Amino acid sequence: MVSINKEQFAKVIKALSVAYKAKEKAEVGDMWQSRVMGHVLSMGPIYSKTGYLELFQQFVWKLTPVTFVLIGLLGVALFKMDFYSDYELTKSFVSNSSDLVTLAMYSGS
Amino acid sequence: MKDKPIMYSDAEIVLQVLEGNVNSFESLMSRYKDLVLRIVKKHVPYSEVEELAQETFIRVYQSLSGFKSKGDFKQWLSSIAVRTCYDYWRKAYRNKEVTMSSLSERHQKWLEEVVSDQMEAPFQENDVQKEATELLDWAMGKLTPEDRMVMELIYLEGMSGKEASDLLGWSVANIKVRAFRSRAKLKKLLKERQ
Repeated sequence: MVSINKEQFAKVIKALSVAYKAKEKAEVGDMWQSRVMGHVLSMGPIYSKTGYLELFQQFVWKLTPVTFVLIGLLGVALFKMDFYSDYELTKSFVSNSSDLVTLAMYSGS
Repeated sequence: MKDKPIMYSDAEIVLQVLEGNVNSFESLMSRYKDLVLRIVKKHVPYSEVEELAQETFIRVYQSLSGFKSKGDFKQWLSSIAVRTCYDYWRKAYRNKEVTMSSLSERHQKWLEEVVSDQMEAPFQENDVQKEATELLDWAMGKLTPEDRMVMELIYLEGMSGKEASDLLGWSVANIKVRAFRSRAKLKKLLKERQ
């Protein structure tokens, strides 16, 4: 292994760069463009696919503020209604524990 | 008096294609075929050029609705071409299809001549030696697809970090770090050859 100093390495890069740029001189066949265009035509127009997608995206984004308002209203409603679990609600109506057991038996739980 | 043919701007042609006139896409192809081929030829092996250039135009067609009419179409198209080449190398590396050609005494000699200033005209574009091209392919084959793309754009094409960043869609900081690393890797590879 021999060391290459900064200057020597720069020369190598420069020489490789010439080789790299020379690659663009390669040619492609005459029929290439018609072949690609044929492929594109076989895919059909793209407006319909993208049109629907864009419409859907626009619709979804327009619904965003409405969604936030609904979430806020729901939060306020829950806060004002003072949320109880089913058990807590039943307990407030039935005063002693024996009644609770009887109720459980009749409800099948 | 003969009427002059109407010259539509890129954005106008894009709009025509999006309105369903697929044939208008050919105008874009004729306008930018050489640019795409020039980009692709530099990044991928010769045998893959036609296919990759075709894939570039198909990608362009498919993502045409994503092109912003106020943007630079040429720049947008170039970035798709570069990313198509990058995807080619990623796929090739994943499938282990990258051929690791070995270097011979000829390459060794070429490298020594360049380093020691013995070469008379190593930088004449008209006279690119076969050894240089083979050595370049060998060295690029040893780099990862990411390092390879950065190495080619920054050091071999002479682009700025910002230009490479726009084409690859990576941050400038990422490009700079990769450029530094790929340069160090290449230097190490060449040292080990000597």
